[in-house]
Amino acid sequence: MKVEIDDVGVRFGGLWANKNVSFSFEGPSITAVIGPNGAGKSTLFNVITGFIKPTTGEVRLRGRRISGLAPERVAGEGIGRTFQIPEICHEMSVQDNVLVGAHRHIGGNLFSQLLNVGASARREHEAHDRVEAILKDTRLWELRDQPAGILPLGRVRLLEIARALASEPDLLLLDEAASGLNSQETAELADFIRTLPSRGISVLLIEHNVHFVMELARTVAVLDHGQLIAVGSPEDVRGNEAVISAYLGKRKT
Amino acid sequence: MRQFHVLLALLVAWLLAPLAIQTGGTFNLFIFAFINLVLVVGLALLFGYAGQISLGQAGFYGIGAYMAAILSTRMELPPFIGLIAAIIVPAAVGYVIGRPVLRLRGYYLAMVTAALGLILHTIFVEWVDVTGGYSGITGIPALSIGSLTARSPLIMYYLSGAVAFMVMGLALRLVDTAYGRAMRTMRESDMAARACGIPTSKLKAEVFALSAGMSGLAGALYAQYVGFVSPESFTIDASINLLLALAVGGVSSLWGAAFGAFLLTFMPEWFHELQNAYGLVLGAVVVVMLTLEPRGLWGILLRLRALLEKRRQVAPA
Amino acid sequence: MSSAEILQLVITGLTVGSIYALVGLGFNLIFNATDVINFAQGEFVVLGGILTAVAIGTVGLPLWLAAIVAIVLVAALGALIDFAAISRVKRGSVMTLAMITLGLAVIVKTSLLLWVGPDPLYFDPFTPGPPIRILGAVLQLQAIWVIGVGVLVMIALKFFFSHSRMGREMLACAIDREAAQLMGINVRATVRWSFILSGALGALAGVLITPLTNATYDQGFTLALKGFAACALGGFGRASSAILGGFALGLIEAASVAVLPSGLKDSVALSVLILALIIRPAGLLGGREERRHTQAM
Repeated sequence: MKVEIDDVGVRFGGLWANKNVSFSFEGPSITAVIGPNGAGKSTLFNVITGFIKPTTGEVRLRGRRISGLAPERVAGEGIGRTFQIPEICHEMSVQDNVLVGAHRHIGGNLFSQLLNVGASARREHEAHDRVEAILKDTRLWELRDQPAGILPLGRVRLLEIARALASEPDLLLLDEAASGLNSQETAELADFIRTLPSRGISVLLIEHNVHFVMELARTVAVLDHGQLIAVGSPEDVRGNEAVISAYLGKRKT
Repeated sequence: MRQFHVLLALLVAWLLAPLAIQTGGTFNLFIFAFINLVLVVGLALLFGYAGQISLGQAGFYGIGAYMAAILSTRMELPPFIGLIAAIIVPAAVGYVIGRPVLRLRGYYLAMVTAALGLILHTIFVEWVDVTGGYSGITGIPALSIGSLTARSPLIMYYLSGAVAFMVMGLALRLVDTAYGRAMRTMRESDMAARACGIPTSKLKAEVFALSAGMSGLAGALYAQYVGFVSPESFTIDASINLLLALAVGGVSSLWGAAFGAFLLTFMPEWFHELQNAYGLVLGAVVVVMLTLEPRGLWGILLRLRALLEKRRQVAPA
Repeated sequence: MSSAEILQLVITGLTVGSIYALVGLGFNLIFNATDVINFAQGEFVVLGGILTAVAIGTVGLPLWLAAIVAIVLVAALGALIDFAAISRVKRGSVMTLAMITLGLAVIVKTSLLLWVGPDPLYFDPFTPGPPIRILGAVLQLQAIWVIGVGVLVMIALKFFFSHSRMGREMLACAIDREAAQLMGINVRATVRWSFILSGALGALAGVLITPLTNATYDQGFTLALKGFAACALGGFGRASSAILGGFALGLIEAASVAVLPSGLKDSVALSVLILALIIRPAGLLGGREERRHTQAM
């Protein structure tokens, strides 16, 4: 499974949030996008997942263009995501939150669902089984009937990941998933992410926490001021002059 | 689920109630309460799932009623064709309007439906050839099987009650389906829903169509029972009253909608000496209730339950 | 159509458009401060007209005093609504507040029915005298008042928003309420003043238009709807959009009367609203809704 980001540019008013961003990766693997604040990482994510239309360039999945498609269609192509500020349903139970992720696999029309008959009833059942496995994997199973609003941030991030996994994606986009976590939670998250490629799931991470990323990713892309300034293995990027000055330069101001 | 047990208990009470009811007037009230329930639950679904309010419910109600009337009188088709048209036509109108408008957040749907309601009322009044203008359409043949006719209060009590219970049951069941989950997610986070592959603007339009179709059904029931339709039942005031009924009953709950519908039906009876001044009572109830408990009667019930649970915890085992 | 007829149409359109613009401005004020649609906005207008009529007819006040009394009373009503209801509901339940204004609209309408009955009320135009003839069209003197005062008020409001402290605070709240609060702006007071100002604007509109169209107890909701249409046409959020939208709506409505039976006049205006929202939701000038949308992404 190949993802190609081809000369993507995003313009808001007079400002280019992304400019001439091009890189690609193949799965299953873990890839990271890092860069200082305001580098355009989230914008890139939103372009990939359909929330923003790129002004120039395109994003291709398995050779087919997905940029410009509506978010729900992108999800249908097998891309799942989490959000920088978690978007969960506080009133719904943990289990229901995750079940929503499996929505596209359940199908059926309103009536067959209401009456719990036909193929959709079977798929609902299958979805419940799948979600059970995911909840146990992410250690949310004991909390499955609790309203999601009571979860602490670390669990909420796991919940979002669980929900994205329920859609059986080929590519999982994690937006600052480690942000706000303590070191133990961060380590657990890293362990969990590390298992995903062996299950056939590629991961694309946005992260601030450079250490977190360097241990996990095979490929690292560095953005600064909307542009790609380096891409390669963690070792390559660590020694890259442009990257160092981007981070150092930011720290000075 | 506990709610279904309550519904079942109410069902039994409903089935047996005619043994205790003496006057036709009481049957009348219950019939209208059931019809109003269908209307208000439709509003509740729209608000609960699409997060929007409609001020045009009476307009769809009217389309349903007129469809049933016109098809069975002017065109002399069997009554149940009128019933089906009464559901489908408003639903179609709802979908067509809902698709572009529901994408917008805020009060746009409220105003668009209010505008639509006013336009429909004007059509009911001005299109005299089809709708009979101010005098409306009379002599609507009733649905009947043998000697059982929808015009009889007892039969209509059971018919409208059955529809009401079915609507409640399906609405409660909806919550646990994939559709229900999708809509609850859509309500809280449009982005999260779309990221899960849920086509939110389509779904919101579908909810609106459902709500409109339900109103149409209520309209057909009304036309069947009363035997005539005229524009004065389908005014913007009627739409406003339906929405206020939901607000008082509890805007975020199906049971609240049911409370609201019954209140809307029975309150004018309790205050019928007031005549014109009744509006003051309705408005005052709305303002006071919402200021003190925004969740309406349902919210008060929840507070009572929380209070009782606290007492139970404090008291020694 | 002859040029005289077109001119007549424009005059009528600008006259009613001025009223719609004022109603729309009132909506805007409250919406910007609270995110709430004030369903009772139309009732402010009707109250303005009826209170003035009663003050002149029953109490015997001269026009200028009656108008001032009416405007002050309605502005006070606005403050009362905020004090008694709006301020007591916990923040975040915007729909609840909107429902409350709807309930209030019902209360006002019923009260008016009980108090003055269903018949229209009326008082004389501000300046007596025959209408002016321009190029074959008829221009009522009162229409000059409506458009003139309306435009003056709009200009005054512009200055208010850009040069007075309260006006700028209101704008700040409109752009970002939390940020405004953090900067020390008293949001609560701003809300209350927006209700007061909104009431005054509505009542003024009522005072202006009653000599031309009479005031009836049940005109409120349709007026509110048209005021909303004005905001939507122009693009929600900005005062100038409400003004532009109001005049546009007035002209469209006047034009429709030339072509269609007058019973359909309201329907035309409302259909325009529906179509406008479907085709161009951001309004002619592009409004807050659209800006919010892109920011959310």
